[in-house]
Amino acid sequence: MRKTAVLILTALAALFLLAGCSKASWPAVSNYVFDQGDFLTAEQEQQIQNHILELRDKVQADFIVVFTDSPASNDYRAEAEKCNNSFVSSGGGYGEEKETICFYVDMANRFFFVDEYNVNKNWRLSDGDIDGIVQGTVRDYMSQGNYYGASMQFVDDAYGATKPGFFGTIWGWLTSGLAGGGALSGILIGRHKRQPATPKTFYRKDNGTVPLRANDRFMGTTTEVRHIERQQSSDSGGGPSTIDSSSGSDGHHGGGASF
Amino acid sequence: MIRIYKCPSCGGALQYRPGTDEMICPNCRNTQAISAVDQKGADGKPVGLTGQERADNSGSGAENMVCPACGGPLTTNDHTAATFCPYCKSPALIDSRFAGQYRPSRVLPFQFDKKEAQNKFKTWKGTGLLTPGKFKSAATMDKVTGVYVPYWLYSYAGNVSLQGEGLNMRVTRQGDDEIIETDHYELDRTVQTAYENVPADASEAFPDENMHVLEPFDFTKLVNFTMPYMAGFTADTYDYSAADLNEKIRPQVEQNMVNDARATITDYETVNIVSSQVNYTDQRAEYVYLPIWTLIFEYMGKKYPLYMNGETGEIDGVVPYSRLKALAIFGIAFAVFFLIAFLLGRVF
Repeated sequence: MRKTAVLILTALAALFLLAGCSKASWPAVSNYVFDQGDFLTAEQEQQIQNHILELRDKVQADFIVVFTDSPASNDYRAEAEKCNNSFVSSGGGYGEEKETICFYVDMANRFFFVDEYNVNKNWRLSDGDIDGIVQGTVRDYMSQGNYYGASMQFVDDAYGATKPGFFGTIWGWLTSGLAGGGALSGILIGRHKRQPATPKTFYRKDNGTVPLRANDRFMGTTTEVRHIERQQSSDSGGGPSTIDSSSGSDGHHGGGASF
Repeated sequence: MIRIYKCPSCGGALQYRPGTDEMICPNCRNTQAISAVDQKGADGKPVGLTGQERADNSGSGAENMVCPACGGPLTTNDHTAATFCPYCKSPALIDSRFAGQYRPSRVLPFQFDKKEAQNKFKTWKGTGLLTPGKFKSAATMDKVTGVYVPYWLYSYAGNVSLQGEGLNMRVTRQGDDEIIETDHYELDRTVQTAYENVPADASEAFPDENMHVLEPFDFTKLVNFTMPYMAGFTADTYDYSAADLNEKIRPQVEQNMVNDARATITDYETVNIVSSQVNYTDQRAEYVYLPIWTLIFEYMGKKYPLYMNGETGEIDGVVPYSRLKALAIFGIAFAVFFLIAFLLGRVF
């Protein structure tokens, strides 16, 4: 029994070790904020940069923020993808999949675009996540001219959408282990349910129940009238519309909005 | 008088051989038909339920409880009827505890022997992965003991009178109106019902909740009582008289009789019973012995009694679980679920 206990403890220690190694850090590059029109102060750029560095390991993705007032073309999607490709080719991108989430802002056309790059198209952001980012608080900040706030919000929103789910955290694994182990042990401990006692009806004599007398008397009839209420039906409808739906190509997918 | 049935071949003590009508000598394996060993037959009669008869717990006289085989003193109490000599292990029957008010009418003999009972305990579905290893050990299984438990079998017959109301409804529609017409009937019925051989455990030592689970017994296998069936098993006289237990059993059966009578009224959609009365035409109780294999399993300083119907093999009781085994299962399951969750986290 002691051997079994040692084996179990060793296995658990191995699992924890495995869990600890699973989120190894990927080397950071020197710059994640590219402001080509001085829309951010140096201090703001640094704060955004620090925020990205703080979160990139947690979601295993690099975030880049690009502001430009002289885009090469008005094809926001193509320009955002170009920025992302350029960042990756210069050594950026997280992990082997070069996961990068780009916040591209075209100040000349007042349009911003969120583009995700992943070599294997193993998207951290769903189309719904991207729609949520471009139509949410980020867009409000952009409309108000709060570019710093919009950039920070973009990082927060992207992190919120990509942060690991229940099964991606040590607590999720521990909870699953405890719940599964507890449930299985509980089932085995409580496996034996007492059989129900034999009811006394079992001892009823066969053919022992015989009606002897039936002196029923008809007493009368009562009548009740109920009015049936009829229901009126009504319809309603409507729903929100999106601005730029997401789509994917060559390891990119994304969506954007004007502000 | 203390009775031991001696083997005519070797002088050893004969025991009843379960599932047969014969006795066997454990020493020389010689067998004897019960009819040849004991010619007395049954003289127990069903008793009436006047309420005057109560259990006599004062014992049936202090006797010289000495083993006729070896002379050693027998360990008995006021209710001991069949036991074993603690010294020579001979099955000893106390005549007076099967006589007079304690004379049973019939006995349901054990249908399988100790070895089979041990196998049934070992393979019982109530045991499982977490059962302590000690449970199935030879030492534990050696404690399996056959006990004839005193029972009263109650039989009731009577006429149930029911009064109440029966309703039949018709619903029709006229436009947006629903017309509900209800016919009212005054009910007056009499139904004859009968219950037979409702068992009630008359021993204080056996918990009712366990004994109820062991039911039913096949009473067609009851035979007239003769003492040789008791040899090789233990038995006590009853602690509760027929009148004592009748106060408990009759209300339960009476409720069933009323329900049975109520179930015969099928002419109405709704039946409301206002009053019911049972007029008994017959009430009887029969004193019998029924076979139970017992196993007291001791674990971590606590006793866990298990009971088995000596005729059907049905078992009731609770086997404890091994905490060490539970911990090991928990650890393994924890590791497996942890790993699954970890892998899920990597995939999604």
